[in-house]
Amino acid sequence: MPALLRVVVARLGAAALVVWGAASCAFLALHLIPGDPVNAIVGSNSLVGDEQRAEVRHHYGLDQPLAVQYLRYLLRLAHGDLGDSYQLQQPVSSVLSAQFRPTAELALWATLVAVALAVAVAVLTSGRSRLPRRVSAAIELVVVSTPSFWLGIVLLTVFSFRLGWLPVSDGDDVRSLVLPVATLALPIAAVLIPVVREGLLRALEQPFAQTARARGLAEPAVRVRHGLRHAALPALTLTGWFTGTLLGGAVVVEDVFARSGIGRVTLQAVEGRDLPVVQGVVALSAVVFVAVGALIEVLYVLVDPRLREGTGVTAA
Amino acid sequence: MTTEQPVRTGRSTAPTQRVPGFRPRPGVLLAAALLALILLAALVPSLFADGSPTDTDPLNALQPPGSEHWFGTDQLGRDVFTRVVHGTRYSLAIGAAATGCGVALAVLWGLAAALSGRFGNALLMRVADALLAVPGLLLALLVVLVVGKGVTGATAAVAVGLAPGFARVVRAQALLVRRSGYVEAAVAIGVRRSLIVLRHVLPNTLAPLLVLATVTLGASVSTGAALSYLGLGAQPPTPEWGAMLTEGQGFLEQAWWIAFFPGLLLVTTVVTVTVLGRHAQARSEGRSAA
Amino acid sequence: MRSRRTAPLEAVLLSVLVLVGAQACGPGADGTPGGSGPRTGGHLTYAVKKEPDCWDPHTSAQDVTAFVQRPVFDSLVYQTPDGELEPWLAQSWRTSEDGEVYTFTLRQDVTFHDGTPLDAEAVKANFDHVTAKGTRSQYAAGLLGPYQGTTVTGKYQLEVRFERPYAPFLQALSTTYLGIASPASLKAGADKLCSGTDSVGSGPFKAGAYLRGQQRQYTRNPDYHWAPEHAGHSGPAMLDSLTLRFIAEDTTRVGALTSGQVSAIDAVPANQAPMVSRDPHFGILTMDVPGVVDTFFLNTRSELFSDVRVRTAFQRAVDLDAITKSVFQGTGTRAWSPLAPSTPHSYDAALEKSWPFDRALAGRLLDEAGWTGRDAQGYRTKDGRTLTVVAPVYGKPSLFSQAVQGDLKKSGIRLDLAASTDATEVAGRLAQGRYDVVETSWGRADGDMLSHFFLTTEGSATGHNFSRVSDPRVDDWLRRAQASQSPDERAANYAEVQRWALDQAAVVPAYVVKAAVGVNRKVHGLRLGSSAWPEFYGAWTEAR
Repeated sequence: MPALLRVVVARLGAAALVVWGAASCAFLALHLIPGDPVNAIVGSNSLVGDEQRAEVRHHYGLDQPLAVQYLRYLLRLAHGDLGDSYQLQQPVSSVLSAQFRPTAELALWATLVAVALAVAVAVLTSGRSRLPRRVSAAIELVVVSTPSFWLGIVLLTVFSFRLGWLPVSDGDDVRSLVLPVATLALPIAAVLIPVVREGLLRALEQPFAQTARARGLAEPAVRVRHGLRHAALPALTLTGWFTGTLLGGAVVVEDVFARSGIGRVTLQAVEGRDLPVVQGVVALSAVVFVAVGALIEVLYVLVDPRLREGTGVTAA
Repeated sequence: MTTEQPVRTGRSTAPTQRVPGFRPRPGVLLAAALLALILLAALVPSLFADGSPTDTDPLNALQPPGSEHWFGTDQLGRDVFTRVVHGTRYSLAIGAAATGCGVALAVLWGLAAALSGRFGNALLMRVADALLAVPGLLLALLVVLVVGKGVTGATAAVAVGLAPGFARVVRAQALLVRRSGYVEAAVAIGVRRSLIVLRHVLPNTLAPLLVLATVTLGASVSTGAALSYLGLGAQPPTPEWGAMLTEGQGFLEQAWWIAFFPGLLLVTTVVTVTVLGRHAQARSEGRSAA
Repeated sequence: MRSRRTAPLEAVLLSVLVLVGAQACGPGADGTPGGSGPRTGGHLTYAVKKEPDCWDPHTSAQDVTAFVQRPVFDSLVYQTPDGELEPWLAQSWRTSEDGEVYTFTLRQDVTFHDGTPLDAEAVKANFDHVTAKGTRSQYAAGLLGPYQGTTVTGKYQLEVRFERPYAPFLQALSTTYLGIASPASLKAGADKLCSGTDSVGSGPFKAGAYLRGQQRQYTRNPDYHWAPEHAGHSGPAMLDSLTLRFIAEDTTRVGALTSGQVSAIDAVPANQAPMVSRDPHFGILTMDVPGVVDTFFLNTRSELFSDVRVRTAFQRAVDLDAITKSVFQGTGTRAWSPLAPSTPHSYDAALEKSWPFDRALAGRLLDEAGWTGRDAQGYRTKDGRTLTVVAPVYGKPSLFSQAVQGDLKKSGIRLDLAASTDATEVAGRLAQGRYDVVETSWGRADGDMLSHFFLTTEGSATGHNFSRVSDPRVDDWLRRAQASQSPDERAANYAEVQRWALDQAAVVPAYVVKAAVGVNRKVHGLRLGSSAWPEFYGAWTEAR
């Protein structure tokens, strides 16, 4: 299957290129930072003497020329080694892997909820009557325009502080996921809804929809069974794109809800100028972005059989 | 920030959003009127609130909204209404300046890519691709690390977050223009390359970019506020909306108004700007389609 | 501000020892019978706001270092929460007539966690370590004052000699900073001791695994039977194990308590205290921190503040009563002296109400000093320069500082809260005197804390003489206080210093720092020690 192989290799190559590019940009940017990185390593421990500083510098390879540091960085990155955190005295990879689960959980749930919500609202508002669509569109506009930190704060005020239905912050309780997930999912859903609805409306004008109706299929069934499949492709692209960038949203949401996770670590690393951690997060986010992109492509093929021939996936 | 969305960041990987069935004729007028008020508040805040946004009054701290203080007072007894009004200028300025810088950066970047050779084009666009793979806020955090905290840092951060997406638009447009008849004619008659760029490519590239910038302006305001919310942008006691939200967050239980009103104004601003931006976009698309 | 007492800055007083009162009520918080009595075993997780930069109490000056190492290191002397001193590792002691020599007799049944027995040589090794150059002691060496040397006079007896009489020594000995570590462990080197991995003491808990940025574990020392008399418990600790988690952010820390992830937290912020204490599952332990209150130290040698009129204007322009009331939601106490009223035998109550808020006076003084112009924002100017007071801040400016900033504006004074997260930069500023004012506090249950801030010799780069004062009278009062064995005589001398500091407007004492420890009601026996930090030795938890 040389065709398939070629596709896979090309994809992997492009993915590696993106990750390499992102990592390099982060590396370069962070070495533009004025000031001595040793300050960030020793933190507020002002007792550190000159010889100790030199030792620290050597330990982190900061005494090497920039090119050498860069090559070393790439070499380690290729082995999945992200270096040692300046502040936490642990490998960055173990810091990130320890914090990955809560963030992934949050992102996954947010994606699922957003998609479910988008599909439900789109189906409900794709009827003949225009009023629900207008109302929905107005709400979508407001939700899309609402910054997630404020949305989170409002949800917290109402549901945790006023009504006391949900816990204020992170806990072992599943309920503590509700508000953060809602905060991330609502704006995504608000962007997805019109896309899904547009696809639905277009599909429902097609002859096959008329045929289905003529066969006596109920309207909701027509919409769900025939319309959705056609609306799925653009929505899938958008969803994939969102999921790939949820790491950014996690920074804010984890801060608002005082949850632990990658976003938290990132913010702390930025505050404390913990450069290896920041570099690690950038590399990780590029990997996630690329991986989700690949996943979405596979999903395309599953949703739309017409795409199968080109990629040769059916042959497998 | 709001959840990242393509409309806002102008990231080319996702389609531009359109709201079918939403015809904001009266809405556009309302939005324009609101935006005029907001701009007025940014330029002459004393028209709406004559006090100082940093005047403290500890004995009247945490007063609920009422006739004395429309939006209540905060933990230091500062009038929330006055702060919100005076904060307009900071929040808008960060978003507008960032969008401006982002456009400028993108024009240089995109034009350079479109006009340089194959290798340069590939390199510049791969860099843009790589940056697009990093969530915009993360990119912004990176820039804050380099430039430093504060209003300048936040502005630069938002600008850099916008640039790669914008740059792709510029490049695509520039390539289109370059292949158009009149540019090829200009090349044929031996007009200098730089002159072609300045006379023909640049103006034609700018128009769609400016429409895109308008649509994303609201989101830039929002991202700027997000950075201040995270403590990386405007610093207290600056009455920037995002920074005010952070301060109010510790008081959600006793005094919801401290965090509520700056957010409300922020949402209003983003909504009005977005409505007007989409309107501009629809008009320009209508024109180009016609 | 390297060693700024960050933890309880925004603490709040609800009522002293609310929790202890509630415990007596019998049934546990969740309605199940809780009167089953103290229980051995169990585990406690406590969330601390600040994580030590350096874990060696002989080196570090941070109050949190003393706290996190207290379970591991015992001291020769114990100071009860009431401020009284009693034997601990030292069975007894004697002071020479001239007050220059202390003779200690040690307990003979104490072993360190590594199995070696405690003897006089071990104690001497500790003092040698504190004073060694390589230790770079920031505070412990200072606590030893005019220390001259230690002589071992028997297996369990030693003499500590001073250049001049030094009465604060016993209280200093009771702090963790002069805690006694296993001599073998001290050889690990400054790096390891600082990184918190080689802490070997003789305390009720042994140091366990430490994960920087997250937590440190402790396990019970089963052999422990040398607790001081008033420790509230005897024999090995009640808890099997203890975990300290580091959660810097207030909301998260409070959330960790209320969601049950941890059993107790420190530094409950004033605005969240009502929420915590309203919940029947939790209580708040509070205590005024003895020592130096949250104080603005005015740099008497800065260009601006070398004029006493400007300093006095700054001192009187702030309505501390109103600010304290609002920032701490009605539960704060404004300070009248740099010393907290709870500091044993040293507070001068006569200072109360002696320098009230007087904005008119401040205005007149500034006019006299030539700051008569006004700029567009209403700040005073002189020769075209704005009246700007530069205050370096490590981290974020507190709500309190912002309130002061707002109040000063009303007198035309611009307080520039120059926030930086670069500790090296802030430390450099402080060392070089590039500031007008420093806001800090320092907990210690002894009036000699004043020496650390006002002795001329503390004006060096490593000292804490933030006001940069050098007055022979002050040095004399402080020396006399140190020399006297009479509490009254010491108090009289410390009173002179307090009065002088206020008359000279070298300081603006702001508010009394309060510890506020939020505790799950299933935790019992947790009490705040003399320095207002919790002691875990007698703590126990109800079975789940």
